[in-house]
Amino acid sequence: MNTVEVSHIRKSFGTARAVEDVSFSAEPGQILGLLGPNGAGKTTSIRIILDIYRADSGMVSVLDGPMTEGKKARIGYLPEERGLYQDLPLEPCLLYLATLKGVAPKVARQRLGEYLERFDLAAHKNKKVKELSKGMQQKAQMINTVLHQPDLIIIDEPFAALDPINTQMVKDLILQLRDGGATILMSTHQMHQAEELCDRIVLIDQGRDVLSGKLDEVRRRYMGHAVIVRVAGELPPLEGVASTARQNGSLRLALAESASPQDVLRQLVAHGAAVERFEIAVPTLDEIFIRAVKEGTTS
Amino acid sequence: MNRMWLIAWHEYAMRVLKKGFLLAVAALPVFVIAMVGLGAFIESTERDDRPLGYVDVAGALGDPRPPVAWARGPDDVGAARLVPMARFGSADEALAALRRGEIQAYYVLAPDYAQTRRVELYYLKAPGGNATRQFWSFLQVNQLGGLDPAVAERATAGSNLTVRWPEGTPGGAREFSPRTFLSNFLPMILAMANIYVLISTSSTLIEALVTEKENRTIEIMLTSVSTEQLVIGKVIGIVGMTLTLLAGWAALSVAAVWIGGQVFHLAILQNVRVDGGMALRMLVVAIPSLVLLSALVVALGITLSDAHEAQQTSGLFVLPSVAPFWFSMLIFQNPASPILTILTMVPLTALTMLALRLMLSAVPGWQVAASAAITALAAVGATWLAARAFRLGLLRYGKKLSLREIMGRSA
Repeated sequence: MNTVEVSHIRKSFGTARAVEDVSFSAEPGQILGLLGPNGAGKTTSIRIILDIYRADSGMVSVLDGPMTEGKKARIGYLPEERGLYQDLPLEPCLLYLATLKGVAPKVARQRLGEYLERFDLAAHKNKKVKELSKGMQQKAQMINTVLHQPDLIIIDEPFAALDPINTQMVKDLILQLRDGGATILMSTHQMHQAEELCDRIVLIDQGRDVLSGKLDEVRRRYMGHAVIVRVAGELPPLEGVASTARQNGSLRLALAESASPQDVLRQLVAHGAAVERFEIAVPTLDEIFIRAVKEGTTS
Repeated sequence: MNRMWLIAWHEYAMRVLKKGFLLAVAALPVFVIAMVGLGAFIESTERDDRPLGYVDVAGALGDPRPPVAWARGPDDVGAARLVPMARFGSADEALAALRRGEIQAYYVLAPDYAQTRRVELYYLKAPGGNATRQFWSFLQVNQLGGLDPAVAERATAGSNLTVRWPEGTPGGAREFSPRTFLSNFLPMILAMANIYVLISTSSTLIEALVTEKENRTIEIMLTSVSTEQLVIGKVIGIVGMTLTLLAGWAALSVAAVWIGGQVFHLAILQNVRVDGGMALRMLVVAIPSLVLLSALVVALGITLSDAHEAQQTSGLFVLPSVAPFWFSMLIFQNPASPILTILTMVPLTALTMLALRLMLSAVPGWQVAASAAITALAAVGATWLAARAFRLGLLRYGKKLSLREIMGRSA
């Protein structure tokens, strides 16, 4: 059963069309990356899922049906624009928001203590939110998102303002929650983060989903017929190579249709070349993103 | 606890459980005491209890009675202290006594006083106001020398008007007299309190909403609660805060009235009664008025994205509550005027107008019922409008929401 199902949603604000036609679904125990350039319609789609906005048309199913007030307690949301009470001390602020999610104060306090320790915020729990650094506020907001142990977690740009150490902390938490069975919907334009974390992706551009699927499948779909090679000295002459191009200190060999990567490797060994690097050229998510957007624009 | 009540308690506690709030509760009584103290101080500087001389050249006063206590009001406790009136045979004797400092001033009744009533005052430094008032009282009492002393004193005390509406009057039996002065002014006090509630509630509510919108907290909140829970919870919490403040002031006022009436025996504070019927009539209009204002403020707060602008604009909604004071002259002349009756029916002006009319006359029950019904209908409409505006405007930044959009189909 899918935790979230979005089918052909559309939303306009006056004459501006924010979402044209977006569809995707996410299952329990899965991280779905919602990718796309700024203004593509990711955040609007999320707000439609959360019933903050109502779609002009299309269908949304959350936790097996339409969104209801009761389901809000099963959803954790980290918005792109962070929004904690700036004038409240950190601990009461997070406890208040947790009780609004239906967590008993005693339980909330116990869980919060654990999370504050985990994210190195325990020493700052009595400080006002506005006195915390941006990174600390970001971690606090992440705690608020998961404190009530939601089944569906929607996180919009979760790594913004985080240094590498804190980024890793948040990544570890996201993976732990995913392994615990939660469905995670992650909106980001940081492709390397999506590449590292997501099981599936949906690419949105100009209000439309232009690409979706499991990350491996998408990669295979966009994989070129090429290999990346680096050898000590000169590259020996190779049959079946259509063209050669330099790429980050290595060579990218585009192969003829009749040739396979194994043929090229055999020839290198036969020539006695000292092979330092040999790998099948797999496109990065950045490259797939750019190609998909271009193709979408062209079509 | 229901989420709406959690929000209400949070909003309430966030504002009330602070030192600043206690200071605010204490601020008004301290201010009033300071003002009264200042008045008393100024009064004391004008007061002079030394003897006052007079020269009765015309022999108009004969064998005068001493002056009676002259009170400017029932709370004029200083009036009991009489200034001795010293008679001098000639102006020279009086002048000598003045120079010696035995008297603070002296009056000379002209030889033709019986015809002209001419009296001259001589002093080195202006005499105390209490002394001059007592001299005029002294003159009056002795002009009425042929009458029974009690009658003479009553005649000098002036008019004592009591207006009574008998049983069966629309709006009920009432009495208006100096004895019930403070009780009669209770509607006015309640109207002022209501205006304070409206100002405080609207400004605090608008600030809470716009700040939450500016900080993007509203987006977090709406993933936990419904818009209705959020708005109603905030309104309850903020109105609760204002009422707590008023209750604090009311408690201190009751204590002050009790101490003033029972300990210091101030006449004005001894007959204070709260008319339950009058309070009920105001309450049935006050509740929908508050709901109406809150809804309008929510609609406004959510359509604007700047706290400063919102604060300035919120005053527009409070203005109609103050507007009935512009009709004060007409209210005193003819409290049943058709214009005033219409304003009693207009939402936002209704409560203050009702209070001002109740202060001076009996307002028919049908007018109170119609006012409450019209205000309640307006409150329902405003709540509907606020709900539509809320959904459209809650995450809109930098662009105002127009009435056309709110009324449009997509809201």
